[in-house]
Amino acid sequence: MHDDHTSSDTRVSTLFRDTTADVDVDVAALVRGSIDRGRRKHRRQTIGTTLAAAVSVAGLVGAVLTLAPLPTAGNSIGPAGASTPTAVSPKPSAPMATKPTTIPTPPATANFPVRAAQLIGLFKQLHPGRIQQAEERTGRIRDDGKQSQSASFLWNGFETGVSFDAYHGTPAQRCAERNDGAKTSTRCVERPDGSILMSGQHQAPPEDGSIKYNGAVLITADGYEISASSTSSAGKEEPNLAAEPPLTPKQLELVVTSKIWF
Amino acid sequence: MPKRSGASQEQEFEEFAQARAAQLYRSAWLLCGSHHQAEDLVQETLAKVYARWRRPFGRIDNPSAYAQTTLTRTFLGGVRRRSSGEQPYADVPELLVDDPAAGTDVRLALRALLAELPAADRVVLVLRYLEDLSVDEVADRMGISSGAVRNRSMRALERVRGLADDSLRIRKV
Repeated sequence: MHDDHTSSDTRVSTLFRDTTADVDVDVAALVRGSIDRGRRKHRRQTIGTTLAAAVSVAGLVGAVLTLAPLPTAGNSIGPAGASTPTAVSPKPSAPMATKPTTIPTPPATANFPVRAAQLIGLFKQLHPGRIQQAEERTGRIRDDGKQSQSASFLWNGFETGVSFDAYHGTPAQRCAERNDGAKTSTRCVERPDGSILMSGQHQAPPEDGSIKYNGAVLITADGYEISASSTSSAGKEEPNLAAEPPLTPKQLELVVTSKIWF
Repeated sequence: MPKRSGASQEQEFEEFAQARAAQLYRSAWLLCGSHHQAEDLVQETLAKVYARWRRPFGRIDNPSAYAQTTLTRTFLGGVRRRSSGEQPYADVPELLVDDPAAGTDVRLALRALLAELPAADRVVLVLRYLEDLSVDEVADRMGISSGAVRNRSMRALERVRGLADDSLRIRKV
């Protein structure tokens, strides 16, 4: 007990402990569920690093997605794109990632040019189509202030996502972090403005419906990344609606590099 | 330090989670007020710890403190997302008849009382009086000043002391 506790405070401690002491806890179920969720998070952060933010937005839960990076990402990028992109080899994470910590790093923040509520409307200007809200569980227009702005929705019936997420470090560090632990590194294409473009494809294994997933991420030099994703189904547990997602990685590159967001 | 294999990391995590899950659940139950939300909060917390645990450079020096901080901030983050339509952890639901964690009169009274407090005050109380952390440690976990913790603690304690006295009297009878 800490010194600044009074006898009254001790009674409160006793109340809390006694009240919760005999609460039934199914530890095995908790741990099992945690590991399942944790694996999904881990895979999103590693195997699906390139498209992790977009996967999160789309609510696909990239538990078993495998990465197949495009060989020539960034060569035909959009209005804000570079004419002569340069490939950057993923390097080990930044030194900050090697320092042991005892508390979580504060979330990254950035000044986003758009808010979550604008994302779907702007996307529709780039790709006119029928917009519907995705299933309630994953259908989100989420405004997390300076940490994240995201929207997931159905575009012509296919699950689609756009997000702006703040990150720590430089674009190169972020690129390396996204590739850290991935089975196959995704090419990070550096652009003249200092940003880095990544894009790729995933496909879930047959037991998870073989859903295909395309995505692109622009890691800006301003401390945030723009992600866009397109899937071949209407949701994680929905059947494939087509052999391929309606938007290719190249088209998604055009989305994330578009000036429409600014 | 030799790099641990994925299986080894997973086994270490599982041992840690089994050791800590019950205590995290107790905190979560006091914060959320319902079995289902508490369970969800603990799973989300441990999932975040797991993901960190498995990262190549994600070694955690003090996993218990890390998990506790993660639980605190996940809970408070849920409260902040209230406006976004996410299910907030701090919304204490109506009494559920099938909530296995709702049992005794004292427990129900405590849950009702905590539900009336702001979420951050609840966190202060739980960290101070269930987890037995110092004011500075609570401030660290919550990312606020020690002064703010003291203020919240004093305010919230006033509400809970009466119940503490009553519950002890009930037990003595």
